[in-house]
Amino acid sequence: MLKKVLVVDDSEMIHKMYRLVLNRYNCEILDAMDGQQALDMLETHQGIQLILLDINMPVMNGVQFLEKAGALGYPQRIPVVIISTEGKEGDTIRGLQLGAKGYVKKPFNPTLLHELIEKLLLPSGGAAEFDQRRCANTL
Amino acid sequence: MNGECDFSVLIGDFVEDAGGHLDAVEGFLLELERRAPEGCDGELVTLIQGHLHTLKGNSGMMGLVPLQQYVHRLEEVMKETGAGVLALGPAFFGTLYGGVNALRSALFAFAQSPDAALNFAAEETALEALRAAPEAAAEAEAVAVAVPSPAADSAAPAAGAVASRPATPAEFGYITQKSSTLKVNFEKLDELLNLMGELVIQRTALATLEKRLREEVTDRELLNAFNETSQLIGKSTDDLRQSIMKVRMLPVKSVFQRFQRLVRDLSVGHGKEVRLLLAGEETELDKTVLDEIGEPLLHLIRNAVDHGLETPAERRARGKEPRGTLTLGARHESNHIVISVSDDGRGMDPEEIRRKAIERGVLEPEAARAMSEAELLQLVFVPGFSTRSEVTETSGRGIGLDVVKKIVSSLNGIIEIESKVGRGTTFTMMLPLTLAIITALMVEVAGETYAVPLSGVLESVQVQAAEFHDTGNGEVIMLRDRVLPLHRLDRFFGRESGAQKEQEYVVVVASGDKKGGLVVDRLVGQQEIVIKGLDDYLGELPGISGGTVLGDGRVSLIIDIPSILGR
Repeated sequence: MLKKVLVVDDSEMIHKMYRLVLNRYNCEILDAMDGQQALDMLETHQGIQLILLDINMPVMNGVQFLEKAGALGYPQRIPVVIISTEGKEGDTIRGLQLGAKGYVKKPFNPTLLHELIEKLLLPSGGAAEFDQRRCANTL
Repeated sequence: MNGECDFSVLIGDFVEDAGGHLDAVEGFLLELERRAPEGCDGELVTLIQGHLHTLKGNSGMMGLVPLQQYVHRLEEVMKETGAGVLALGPAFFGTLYGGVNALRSALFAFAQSPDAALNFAAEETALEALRAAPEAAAEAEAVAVAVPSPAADSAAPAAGAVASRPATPAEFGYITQKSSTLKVNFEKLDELLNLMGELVIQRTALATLEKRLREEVTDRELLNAFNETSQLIGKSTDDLRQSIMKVRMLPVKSVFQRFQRLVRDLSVGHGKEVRLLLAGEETELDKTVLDEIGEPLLHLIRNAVDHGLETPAERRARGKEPRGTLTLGARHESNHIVISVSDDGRGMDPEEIRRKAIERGVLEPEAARAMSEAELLQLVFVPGFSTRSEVTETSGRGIGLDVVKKIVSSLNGIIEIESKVGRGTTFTMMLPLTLAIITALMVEVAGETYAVPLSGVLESVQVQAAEFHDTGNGEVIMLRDRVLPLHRLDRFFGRESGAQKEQEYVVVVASGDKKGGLVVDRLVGQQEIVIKGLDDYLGELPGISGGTVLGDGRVSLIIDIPSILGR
């Protein structure tokens, strides 16, 4: 179902964890260490179906990434899930306003993330409804 | 703890990563302290916050709640510091250094035993004290500047009591803590092997020199002393090379385990029941080889699940267990790594292959009829040949096996197939221990020395001129009643001398199902050579896979057996 996902986080450790969390999809995982790298990868890689985005990052943070990517028209095509440690909730809300489809608080329960990913990739609009609920619960 | 995601495999990575963040935090704290007289450096505070933030998130993912909470408190303290609420005095730094130490000890304990209880109650109390009495802390700073720290303690007991007490030796334990592992960039190991290669070359030079000395020097004692030293250098070089090779080795497990998921998904997709057995997972391979075997394995496994194994119903009908078994094995065998993919499925029928080969025009009927069963099986490696009539999503169309063979050949390895109708099929890949050094048979052709990878050499024979036969379709010799096509290397490389020779040497080589004889002037001997890639600007040179530097500094080209036999 999930073939290619872009993970944006400044911690190598988190990338390793995502490899385990996403293992069940047997999908290709692209690792970006900041927003700028993520933008580059959007340019150079086709078929990205999902972006898991951290907010707090050096060089270009998650919100800046969404702004830039939005200007290039990416988030409409590719669902973005903000996965961020508690702290800058204001940034997360800004990210959702910029078109992110979901928010998961780190540390997250992998099962919840799987649930969210699977709903998001459904062709129906079920995803949007689910997100609203998820955001309400976690914010 | 996290259902299917067992992060415990990441404990080592986490501890190392967290240690790095703590080192960074400590470094920035020291810098902050140095610059404190000029005021609070907001940039440093932000950097510290960033590391703490990442550490907090990672600790949470690892399920280390006390660690996560305490790091969160530290992050808050840094936030307040940035906002100017907290003064940068000795109490502040003492508390924070104490916190970093406590975190290091906790990580150390966690690395020793993942169930270790982590408790930061004392450190949290110290932080609270610091936050509760910021003014006192500021005062303490003022006093500390004027008077040595014992006085500061009495001036601000609330904040200073915990923070400024002298650190116990145990707290500095991390300084003398010995680490048993070291993370090294692979490029550095490659560089080491490269240097090692130079040493191997120089050792060969020494041996060449020794040969000359034997002819020219008469002082036996000196000669013997030289010989002894040369042998010792040789032995040390061997030992050194083996040690370096060992450092580059990783267990094949990391690659094998990736396939569990694939096999599960494939078997569900094809309505088959498959049990995957892994054997020899701990077998260690050079990283260069490990990086390359994923793709051929992927093809072989897809092929086995898709074509090799029957559906449960078919298996039951044949009196087999409904669930098929796929075995992925690895082992060392003398100078090779042997990796096998074995299924207990339907096996391949040589007769069916013969029929298909004729039907598809791969072979002339006459040639097909003359082929042995083993030779027929080799046809599955021919591009475009597939024994299944239908094509499925994952394999089929005959792609795959020829690709596998190509990859294995490019690694200087060979692949073999064994199959019994109704019993199953086994593919065995024999790969060199490393892709950087190979053993080669050095041969001389028209005055040049060439290296023939020994992995492809079956034997060498001396042949009298009368034994060469020209079939009109190339030269051949009869070798133990079998026809062996010959390839004259001098002609191949355009260096024909035209001289008639009484007898010549034929190096019998194989690449997959193809066998052939390379005609050379002289056999020089076996030698370990370090493969040096040819520069890209040379493009693809037919018959040449790379170069190497000989002991005397001359360059020798490495013969690409598959490309020569392919002609």
